[in-house]
Amino acid sequence: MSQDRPSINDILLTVQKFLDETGPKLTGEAKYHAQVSSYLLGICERELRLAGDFDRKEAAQLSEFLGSDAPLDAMTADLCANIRAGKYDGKFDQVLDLVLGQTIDKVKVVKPGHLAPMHRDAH
Amino acid sequence: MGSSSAFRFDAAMSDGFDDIRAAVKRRFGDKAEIANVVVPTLGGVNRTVLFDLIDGSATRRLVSRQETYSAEDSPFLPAAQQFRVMKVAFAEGVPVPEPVFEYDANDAMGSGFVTAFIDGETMPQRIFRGAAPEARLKIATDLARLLARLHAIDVAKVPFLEVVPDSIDVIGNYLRLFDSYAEAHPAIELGFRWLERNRPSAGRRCLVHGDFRTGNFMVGPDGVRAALDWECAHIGQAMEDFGWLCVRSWRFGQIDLPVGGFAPRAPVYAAYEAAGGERVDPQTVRFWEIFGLVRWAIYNVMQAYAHVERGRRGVAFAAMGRNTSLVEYELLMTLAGHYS
Repeated sequence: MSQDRPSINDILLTVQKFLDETGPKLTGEAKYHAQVSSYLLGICERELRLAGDFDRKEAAQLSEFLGSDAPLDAMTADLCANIRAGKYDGKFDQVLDLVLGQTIDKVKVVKPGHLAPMHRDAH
Repeated sequence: MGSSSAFRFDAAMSDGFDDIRAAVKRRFGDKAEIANVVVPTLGGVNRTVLFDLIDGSATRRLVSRQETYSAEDSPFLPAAQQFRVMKVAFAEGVPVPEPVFEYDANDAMGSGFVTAFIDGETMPQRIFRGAAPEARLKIATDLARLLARLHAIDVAKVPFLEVVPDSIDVIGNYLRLFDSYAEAHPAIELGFRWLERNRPSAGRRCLVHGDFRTGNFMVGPDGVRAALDWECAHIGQAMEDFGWLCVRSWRFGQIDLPVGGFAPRAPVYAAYEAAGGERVDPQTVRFWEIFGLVRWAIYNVMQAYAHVERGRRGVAFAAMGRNTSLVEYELLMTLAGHYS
């Protein structure tokens, strides 16, 4: 299906702008919820833009680390079970690096400004 | 206003607080009245009501708190037990709002209690804005003295807390909660694994507040006035309270002031020891701080679970679910030695 303009990212940003303009005119809980809603739309917009690449990268890393070609959620479950069973105690720092990299990508979707300067994208 | 005219007023216009009014009269007599009733805007899931109790010539400002939502597997203490802990803490000289009475079956208001109202500020950014650097240090050392007094309480005075899951094994309890939300989180697994392998030897068991962080105490120009929100109180290690207080998320942007965004660690630890607290081992605090990050990540997972699976929907709960990754990032950066 080819859709007409605007793109979904454009729509999300447009609704977000509306919330950002309207929220400050509200009071109390509604004002807070407008801020949070705008925040959630920002997450949606970034996820639509970034998730495809991040998922492919994550799957490739896990596949190499685990020696598996299972689907991403199955590999993540294996990683969790292995960590809990102590299978990586001898290479804890290596697993920490792997999981940190994946977590950085999650944060790039949720709130990129939360990252330390060492992990921010150069723009 | 005489009691007969008060009665007419009540009969003519029910203001939505007849239940509290009746509960007050049941305890303080028919002539007791309530006035200046205020419902704070951000009361969360509990019903919170501020009112004046007018009892003869005396007027006292009080706070009523009732549970309006209770999950089947809530990690929080029932109101009745919070009230009992606060009574013990108050009697032992810990700054805490004076417990006044508990609701019972005759009130038909569910679980809840009434305490004295303590004036002041709890909102972190407002406290930071209002306090000069020396005032911030005073707040942090007040917190240390408060904890020293709390931790000195004989646990035999709170025997009902012995059976609370957090008292038996606080880390194991959070692992059990985490598993009940059935979502894969490699970062949280790494946190638990680290805790498993780095657990310090157990110290003396004491009464801990359990949710001692910026936002949960009342601050005035004179310093810390009261510790609030006792629903996580249990018997555990004194350093749990320090670890939670220092969790990066509770610094509210003041990341270089690890003690709640108020002060560096050393003078606060020294104030705790000077007030009779046990010697503070920074490595033990770090252990409980890492547990605090794991715990805070799990709270966020819990809110998303309730939002998606339990019908307690809302934009704030949805956002907390996604904010789990922000806490996971802080946890991993701390484990990797980049954050302290």
